[in-house]
Amino acid sequence: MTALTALTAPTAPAAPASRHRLVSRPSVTDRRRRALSSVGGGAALALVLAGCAGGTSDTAGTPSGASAPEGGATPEATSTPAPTAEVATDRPRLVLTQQDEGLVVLDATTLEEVAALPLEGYHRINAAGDGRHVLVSTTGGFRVVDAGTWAEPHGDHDHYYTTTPVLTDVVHAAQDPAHVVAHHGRTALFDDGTGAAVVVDAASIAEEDPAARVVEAPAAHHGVAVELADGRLVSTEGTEDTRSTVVLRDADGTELARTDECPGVHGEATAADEVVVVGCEDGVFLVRGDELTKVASPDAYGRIGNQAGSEASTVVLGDYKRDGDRDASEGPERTQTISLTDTTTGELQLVDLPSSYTFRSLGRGEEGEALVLGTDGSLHVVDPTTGELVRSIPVVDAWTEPDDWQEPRPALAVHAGTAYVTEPATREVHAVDVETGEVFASTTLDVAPDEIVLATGDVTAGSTPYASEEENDQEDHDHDHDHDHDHDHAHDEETSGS
Amino acid sequence: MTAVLPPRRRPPSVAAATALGAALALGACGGSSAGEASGPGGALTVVASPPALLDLLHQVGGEQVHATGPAPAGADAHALELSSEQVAALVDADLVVHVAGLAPSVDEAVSLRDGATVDAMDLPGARPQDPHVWLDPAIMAVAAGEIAEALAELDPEGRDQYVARGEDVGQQVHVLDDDLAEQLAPCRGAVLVVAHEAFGYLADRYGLQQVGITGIDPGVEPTPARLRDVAEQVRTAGAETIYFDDVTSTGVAQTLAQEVGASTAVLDPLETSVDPDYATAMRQNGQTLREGLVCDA
Repeated sequence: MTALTALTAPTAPAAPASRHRLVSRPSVTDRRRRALSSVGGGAALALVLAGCAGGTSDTAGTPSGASAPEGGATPEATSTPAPTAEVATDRPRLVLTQQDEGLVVLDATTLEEVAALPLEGYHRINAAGDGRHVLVSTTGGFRVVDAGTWAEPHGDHDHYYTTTPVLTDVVHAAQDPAHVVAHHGRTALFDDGTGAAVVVDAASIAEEDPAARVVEAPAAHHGVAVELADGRLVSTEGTEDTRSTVVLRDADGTELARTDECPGVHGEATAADEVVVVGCEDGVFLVRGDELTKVASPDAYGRIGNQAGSEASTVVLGDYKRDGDRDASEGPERTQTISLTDTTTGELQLVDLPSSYTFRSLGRGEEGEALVLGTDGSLHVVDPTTGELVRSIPVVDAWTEPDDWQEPRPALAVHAGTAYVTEPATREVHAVDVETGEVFASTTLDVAPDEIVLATGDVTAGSTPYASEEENDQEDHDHDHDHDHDHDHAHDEETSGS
Repeated sequence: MTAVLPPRRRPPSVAAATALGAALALGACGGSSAGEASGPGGALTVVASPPALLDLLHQVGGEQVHATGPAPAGADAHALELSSEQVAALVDADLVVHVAGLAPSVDEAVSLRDGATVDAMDLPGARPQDPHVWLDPAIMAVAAGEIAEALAELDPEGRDQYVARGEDVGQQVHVLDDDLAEQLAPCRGAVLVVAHEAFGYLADRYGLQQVGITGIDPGVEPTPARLRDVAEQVRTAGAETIYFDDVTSTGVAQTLAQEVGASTAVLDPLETSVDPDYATAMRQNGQTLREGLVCDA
């Protein structure tokens, strides 16, 4: 909280004044408008005192005498401020779940452990959309984790900071916290227990009660919502037993379009030019402008439920399943087919891979490459336009998809040209250079990793983190705008109960 | 060829200011000096930030002025956080000299003041989007005069001394400016590749073209994708050197040399300190630029 308090809006510089006016005296009115408490505060004081005890760091200006170590820290939920260090560039971090243990935070460049955050039970995690925070779906709602890496816009460039990760006490209430979709600085939290979507500014995700847009549904269901840059909002409706409705609203909440023709609606992804693709059991719906357009699967039952999009590509990568009669006791359908839906032509292409894959296998490369982590242990790189298998990069040992969707299996996360692959069987995490196929770093954890998400540590398009809105508006950031919405919930398997 | 620089003339007030600074540094951790409303012997209390402006204050104010930074030296100018005592000291100071938009915590404390305040962003030549004004000696020369005038208004009895010292300091900064211009004349038009885009004023002043590269930390071995990206940026810029605020890892420097074909060097944005003073630090930057930029022989 210290950093958030301190990094408030810089004062807009006044226009150059004539010489005699350079010495200014703020009016009393101006003074009273501002509260003294808005400056620094006790936390900052504690930092400064610590600095006196331990000296100051000459690179970061932060107290080196403060207690949190650089790595291997095990901070718990606490309000004690951690030291902040300025770093030269964005420092992405990986946040991984470890079943019944909690979370572990790794430096995404070196794979060195930054912190372990104990938390009992089984948890799902999602990136919060601000480049800094991660949301843990837990009892009572979405709990905010500060991954401790962020950027602050500063004139024509950004400044980057890191601090010790912490499991905060901020929880965004939900009866049954499920899908999180972060897009263009807005984050939609879907509560399966009520069917309501709560959409907040990603930059305010760590606040207790952020201003929110709430879109309710007639009934509780396993749903999803995404808000687009112009305020249009796509969301689902349905019941616990059946759901086939997609609704598109404008920024004011006025309904623009609706369809009931999307049986088993599940999953969404956004392609270039903000075209949203929503998955159905017989195809997908494209959301373009104020229209919903169906693209049918070539099979009567051809289910697309997990997808990955990229701003660099008009094509959305999706899974593809054909066995509509499959009983849950038979385990998952181990499909080897993926779908590639072109959002400009409306064409749906199926591609057969050398191996099956799972709901944690889909990702997109920096240039929009379709990436699929196969059960043969390879990362398959597919040209999203031609469907050609460009190359297969051996990364982990072959494995079999477990019957229980909650069982860890290799998972994929992609950021800035690097694919991160977990290998629960060996407790490893690997970093793969997508372009060359080089596995340039690996690390072994104490506990098997399960889910993996990124805190990019960078300024996020549309978000206004840690700086004033007007300053951000003046920016022309080179955004790394990843549209992979980390949308890999295992709700193919309705047995998940979540 | 290295330009021959005239020996730097040490301003007479620096020795005293250094001693004062040492006393303050000790006092700051004792928890007393920062909150004092007036300086020793009734001297004017001045809070100045960043360190380059504090250096001017020491030189122009001399022993009649008790000048400190808003926080102990070494703090990051951008991420500065102030304790309530430090806020109080800043609010109560006779004069504050600062750069609006540099440190939000300082800006907020300044907004609580009734007293005289000089904002370097109001000086001619300052650009609203870039607070690093102190890297332009021409602006700093004007700042010396403004500081002298502000001190003279607060302490009319000392006016002659402030004004004289202000002119003297301004003149020294002009000499610095001339020397840098001469030194960097063969480099005019060169691309200055920096990891931190803080050097727009410096680049503009001496005819350089600042290009910011992103994605590399001199202390962390980059990912292959980042390395390719940086190599492309440097190639596009046609530069031979990547300038960092500081370089802590020789391993990364070696990697950049091998994979990117660029050497690394330190260009100090003077955000955390000026060592030992503004002019010397700027001359060091000039030397680093002369050695690393693609310049005419």
